[in-house]
Amino acid sequence: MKPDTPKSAAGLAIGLGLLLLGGIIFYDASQMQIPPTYARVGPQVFPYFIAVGLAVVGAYFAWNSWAPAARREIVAEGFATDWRALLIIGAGLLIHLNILKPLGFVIAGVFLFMCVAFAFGSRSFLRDGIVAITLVVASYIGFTHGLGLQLPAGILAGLL
Amino acid sequence: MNRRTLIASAVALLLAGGLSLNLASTPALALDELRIIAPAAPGGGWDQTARAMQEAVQSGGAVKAVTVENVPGAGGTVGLAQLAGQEQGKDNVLMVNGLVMVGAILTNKSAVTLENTTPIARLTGEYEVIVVPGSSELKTLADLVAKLKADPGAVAWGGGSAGGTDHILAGLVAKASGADVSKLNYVPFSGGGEALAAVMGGHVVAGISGYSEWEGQIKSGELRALGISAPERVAGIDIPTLKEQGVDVELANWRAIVAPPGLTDEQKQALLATVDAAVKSDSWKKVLAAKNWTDLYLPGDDFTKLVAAENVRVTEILKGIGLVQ
Amino acid sequence: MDVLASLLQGFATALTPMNLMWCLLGTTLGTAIGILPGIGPALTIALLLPITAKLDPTGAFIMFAGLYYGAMYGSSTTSILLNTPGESGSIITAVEGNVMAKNGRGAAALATAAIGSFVAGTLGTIAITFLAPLFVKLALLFGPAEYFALMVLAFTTVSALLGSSLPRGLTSLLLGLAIGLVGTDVLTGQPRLTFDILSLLRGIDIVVVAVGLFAVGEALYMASRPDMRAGEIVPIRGSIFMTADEWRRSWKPWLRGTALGFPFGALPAGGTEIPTFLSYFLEKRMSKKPEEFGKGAIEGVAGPEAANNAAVAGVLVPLLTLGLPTSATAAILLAAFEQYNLKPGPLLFSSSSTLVWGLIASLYIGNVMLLILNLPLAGLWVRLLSIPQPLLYGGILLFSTLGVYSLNNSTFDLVLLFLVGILGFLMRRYDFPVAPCIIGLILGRLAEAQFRRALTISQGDASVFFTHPLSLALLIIAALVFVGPLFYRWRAAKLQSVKAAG
Repeated sequence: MKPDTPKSAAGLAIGLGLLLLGGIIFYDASQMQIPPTYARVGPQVFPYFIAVGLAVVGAYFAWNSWAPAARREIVAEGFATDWRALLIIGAGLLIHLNILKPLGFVIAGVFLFMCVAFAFGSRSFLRDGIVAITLVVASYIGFTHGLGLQLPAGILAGLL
Repeated sequence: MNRRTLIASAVALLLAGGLSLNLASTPALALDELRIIAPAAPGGGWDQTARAMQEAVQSGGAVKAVTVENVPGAGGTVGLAQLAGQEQGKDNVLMVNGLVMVGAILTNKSAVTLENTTPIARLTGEYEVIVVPGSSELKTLADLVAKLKADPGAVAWGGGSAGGTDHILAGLVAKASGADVSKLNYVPFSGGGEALAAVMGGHVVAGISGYSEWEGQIKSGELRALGISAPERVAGIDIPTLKEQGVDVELANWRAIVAPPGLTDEQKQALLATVDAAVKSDSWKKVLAAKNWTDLYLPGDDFTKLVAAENVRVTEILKGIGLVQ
Repeated sequence: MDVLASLLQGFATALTPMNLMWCLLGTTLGTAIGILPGIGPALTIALLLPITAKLDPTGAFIMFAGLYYGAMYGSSTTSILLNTPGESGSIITAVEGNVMAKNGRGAAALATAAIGSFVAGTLGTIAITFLAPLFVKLALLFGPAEYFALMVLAFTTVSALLGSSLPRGLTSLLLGLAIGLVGTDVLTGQPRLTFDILSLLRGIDIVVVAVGLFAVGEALYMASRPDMRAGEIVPIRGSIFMTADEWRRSWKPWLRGTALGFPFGALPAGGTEIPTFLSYFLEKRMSKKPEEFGKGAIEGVAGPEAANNAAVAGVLVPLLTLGLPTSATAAILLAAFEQYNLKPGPLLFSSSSTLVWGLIASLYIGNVMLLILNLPLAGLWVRLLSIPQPLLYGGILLFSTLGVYSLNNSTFDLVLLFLVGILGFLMRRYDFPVAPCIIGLILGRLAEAQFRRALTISQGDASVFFTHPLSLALLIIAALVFVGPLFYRWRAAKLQSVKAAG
């Protein structure tokens, strides 16, 4: 933590993000068509409360990001961040959900497992591959045949 | 595999289906594979209907592999959107639906409606009962109607989801009794036994549900059934109909089966033949008996007309309640 | 017939080799699916229904009951070791349990969870056997007004989980409340925050949020911190099993958790989650060292784990005696009864007494089996922590996505999981507690629906919350819980000043 930072950028971003979220919820509630009910408390009332709450904490974090470093809620992290690992897992999850149906659970599952293992620094591709294939195939067979769960077979349909 | 090969294989599959259709003497033999979409989670009424249909089709041996696919959400409209979208034109897909979906399409302002499907047949149905707690001062339907007319707000009805079958029946009863429908005091409970507990505990004045769900409590006297929404007395159920007590309402919570839009007439006839054979199978009859489902089989054009008529009736009542603008 | 005689008859039914086998199969399968997030007992029993249609009903129900109990045992294992709750009832377990595991006391946490579950399950079964009619009366006393008051009481417990900063804890709670808004409004069918996306109409499942915040968020966070990755996790520090001190600290929370959990299960809108919040709160309040909470206090595992198992036992009371399902799993069990043309309710005990008492007896046996199954395994399970991190997190993410996908067979839920995972990562990175978010999500929906239901029934008259005696009593308790600590602090300060003056 550098004591001379004028403000906490993360704190400001979080504050503005929460303000924005509150605004979205407020707008959504204001657009509702309210059917008549005896409750007098319609579907829009609770959203308004939550929106105001989020705006208040958001404003607080934004304001607080200018406070002296010692009194800041959100402190600049004092450790290194491995952005590459994060990106690999994030991309792995996104690709996984896009190939799950067309290619099937088995291929998508093995891909995800390998991605995560790689991001965590493993370079033993053979070991990871064997573990991944064993886990994925066993759970696919167990769930679809044993329990009747519907996992997408994809292009390996008929093989397993 | 990219999108183009996907489309190509889908076309190939369609062609293959069409070819064997022409070659085979009985159209029911056309399919290698049939998928039945249950637009609800496993365990519910639609899922059970889909699985019973799966077994019935399989028992006839007409189709090699029948699978059930659960696509739950939003009163079935998520499944409906899938059927009208990515399943469009496929002659090996069926979907279970029912009266609940008619209401859900309206309340969810779904862009896809039942007009975007190929109707096949109504299969089964269940009648609804109106009950009060066993200790209630309301002894007959006339008592309830009188209370409803005097002050609709004083009758808090407990039942299932907003805009569902129970809600629709409450609206129809209020309307037929001459009460102000827009002042209906209906309290939706989320599934399970919450509505039942609210009625049994006397937290609401009256309750509405499918008969079989509350059959045990009615028989043991914890609930008093004031009327059933059947057109005439049902064998084995000792409850007077709403009609014979002067409330001119009949409502069946029907379940049906439909196909994707964009099918040719032959494709539709082939699916109808498959369903027809399944409904006449022993397997299906056994399920009906075991689950106490009323056989309301209504195939083809008559079913199409029924859907249209129900749509008009439900739209009118939900507008009256104020749930749909 | 006398209850004890019936119970003995039931043991005779349950102890046949065939039924023992069903019980073992159910408990084992239950433990397995409990471990997996998203795949719970309700889904499993629903999928097994068609297969079991041809079985003898007694055997099938013994298996289902074992499965139901087993799932609660299983989900505590992953909560504690991997910070990945398998069922929503064991989310709170992760809060203290995972810290214990990281401190090398994972085996002790697993043991206290297993024994606590056993104690709660057995006491709960005893309550089913002898006290069922009493709890049925209690269940029917609760209407929407009473539920709302109960939710208010439950909300006060969030104060025990807010963490080091009020604004950060409050933000987490508000985020949970906001996520709970998404979907169709129960009372009017209005879509809220769905942005015209059809799949959002069904709302965001608790499982998606729990798995996203805990498992995916944690995996992303660990990946982002090379310094933490290098650190070695010690599976066991000190005694492999519970120490004498840990026993001493566990037994009271087990009993208190049971007392909280059982009545909740019997309530038609109770659930297994809320009693775990209440139990955690109670244990923190009663503890002589509340500062240990959040740093691996064994009471925070023992109490909630007993509570969720007792709640599962409680669910069976209204189901068997009234035919009233109070949870998703109970609703599926009801469908199973119907499959065999059995009607649960007052008549079931006389018309199918072999089945009912066989089932009750099998609950006793199932609990013993689960204890035997889980206790020796605790030492083995903790070895999971010695699996190299790349493989461990690969497996966690594989099973997280598998479980979330099977909720609705929808890749859209995986998109949500991804987004909630990013939220979970950010919350960890900037030190926001995640538990209040889950509490907000679970309680917010319920509290709003019950509040508006109560007002609908009373035609807008808000006095119902104070004129119903039970509702009033609960609100007073909530107020005391909220104001009590402030009062104590005030009095302590005053005493201090008096002392200083004297």
